[in-house]
Amino acid sequence: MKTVARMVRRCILAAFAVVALVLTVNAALLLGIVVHFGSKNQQEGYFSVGRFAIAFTQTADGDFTLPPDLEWQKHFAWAMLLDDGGEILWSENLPSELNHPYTVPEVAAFSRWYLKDYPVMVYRNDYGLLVAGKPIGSLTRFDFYMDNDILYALLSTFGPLLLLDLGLVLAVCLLLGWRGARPLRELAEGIGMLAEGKEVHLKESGATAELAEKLNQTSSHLQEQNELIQRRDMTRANWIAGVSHDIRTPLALIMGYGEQLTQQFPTDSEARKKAAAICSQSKKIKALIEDLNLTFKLQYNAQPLRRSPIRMGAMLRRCVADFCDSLEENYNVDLLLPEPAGQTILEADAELLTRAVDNLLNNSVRHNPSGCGITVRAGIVDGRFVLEVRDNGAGYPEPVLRNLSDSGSDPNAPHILGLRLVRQIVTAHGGQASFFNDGGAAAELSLPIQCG
Amino acid sequence: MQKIQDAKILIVDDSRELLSLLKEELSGAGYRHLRSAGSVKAARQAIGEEMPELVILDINLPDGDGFSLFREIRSDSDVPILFLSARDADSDRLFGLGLGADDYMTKPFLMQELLLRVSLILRRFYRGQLQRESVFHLGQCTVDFSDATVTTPGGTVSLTATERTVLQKLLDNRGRIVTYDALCEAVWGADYYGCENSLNVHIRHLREKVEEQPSRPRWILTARGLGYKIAKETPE
Repeated sequence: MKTVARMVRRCILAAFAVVALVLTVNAALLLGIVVHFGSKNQQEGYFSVGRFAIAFTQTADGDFTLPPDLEWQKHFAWAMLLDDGGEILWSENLPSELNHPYTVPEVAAFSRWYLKDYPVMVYRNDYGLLVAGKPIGSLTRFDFYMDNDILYALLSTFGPLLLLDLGLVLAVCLLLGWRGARPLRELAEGIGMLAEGKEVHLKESGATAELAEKLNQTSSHLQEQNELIQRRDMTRANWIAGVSHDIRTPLALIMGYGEQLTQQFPTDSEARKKAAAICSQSKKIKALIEDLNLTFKLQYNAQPLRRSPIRMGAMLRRCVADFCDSLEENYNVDLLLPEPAGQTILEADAELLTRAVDNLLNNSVRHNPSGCGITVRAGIVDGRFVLEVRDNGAGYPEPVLRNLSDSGSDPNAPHILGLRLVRQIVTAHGGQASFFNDGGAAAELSLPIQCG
Repeated sequence: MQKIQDAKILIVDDSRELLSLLKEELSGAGYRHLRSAGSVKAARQAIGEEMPELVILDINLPDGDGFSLFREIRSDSDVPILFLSARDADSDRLFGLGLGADDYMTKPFLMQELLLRVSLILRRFYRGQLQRESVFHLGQCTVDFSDATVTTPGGTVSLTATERTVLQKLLDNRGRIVTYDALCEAVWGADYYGCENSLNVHIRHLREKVEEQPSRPRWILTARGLGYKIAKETPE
């Protein structure tokens, strides 16, 4: 909707700009004409009838003369000088039909108008009235007058009228813009729905019919793809769930008999070692199945976080204590919980966070079969809860680190499901997980503190 | 029932091998009255003949499902039931526990964990009937919870209420680390923040009563940064 409002706004601004442009061009043209003809007049020499009238002089014998450089003929076709009684005292080039005495009404009639279609100009001088005629059709005359009340009314309403005009322009632009934007608004809503992954069915009519049709096609295409992905995910989920389910009972038997055999054979016997290996490998398969299920659920948002306030110190102590209970002697785990980290309360899924820490601890044990020291350290850094799990063992193999830093998945990459799961769990909590080597394998989990 | 091992346990699972393994392990743990059923029908028959005191129940059975059988059993009896299933979905776990199951374990599982859970359920459910094990031995030292005393070759001393609770919690989890938090919670309840120093004082007093050399404890061991544990076996 913001887009549509912006479009309407731009439409109105554009309309104003067009109006302003047209007015400016017109004014410029008008000015150009005025300047052009003004300069032309100036070049040709402006000649007024007044100058002509006062140029008359009367000789002693009663004739009238004009200065030879007056060149009034360039500007007038003919001229005559009337006395107060309407008799012609002097004339030159006067058409024959005009050569007669004039009565007062006749003089009054042509003085501001035409004389037999000749546009005329008059000017009073000492000898009478000079009448100068222009050629027929060369000049348009207006007899312009206006009532003062009307003139004042016009002048006083000019400002409000201008404002009213602008308002009208704005209203018309708004109306046209809004009407024009309606189909665009529907299109914008359709695109918004597409962005939210909803299905779109727009009316394919009007000026935007083609766009609506394309949008409907895109929506339909996306829906088909979504359904395909959902079907594929469902198939994958069912396959994983099925395999995981079917493998559980046989694995329970293998683990159970493995435990039995371990206890039955004499200590240090080869058979006991083999039975113990069956147990430990079965446990790895168990962990793998659980990791596989969980990583899948997290990847496809099928594992909702069950957040609750967790005192991180208590959670980490319990997690490490449970881990230590089944730990062989050649491993050692140190838990460092300086305050306030130990008393920090996070809104988190305790089971998942425990799983993440457990995976990191198990990773250290699995990749250091001859033993190692593990340090779990918690702290508050820049307002975030940071948990480090480090060991002094062989460290992560380079391909593992490479694969962890690569967002793509390489099917031939070394096994890192457990570490990927750690990252998924931390990410689901809005945190970041990083893995690196620093005198052994090191993992740093940074979690936002939402509470406490 | 004087001991949990006297409990009549019915195991229902469609895997004959798993039934056999479970019976072996449970009987190895001392349970003497064990019956098994491979189907809903066989389970109904076993229950009809004799009501068990604990049922270990699978969900996917060849002729029905464990949830329905659970409802049938619970309509007649409050017998404790532990679901043992390959179905690990949260929805299944929540549904099973929501029905009122006493526990829900997923396959594969650690046999020791199953035995512990069975024992915990029986202890909890039949608390009134069981003769509580009240005497424990820590080397030459004997702890008797019935009168809260510790007897050593040097004489008999009494335990305070807090020391008794702490020692009981540790002995209930013998061989496993009990965190500061779990011990403090057992003594002071859920709001135990800041009680760790007091706990250390009680542990010191306990060591003075139980250990031959309190400064070099052989039984009440410290798990640095985590908690305490009672040594599992006699470290002779």
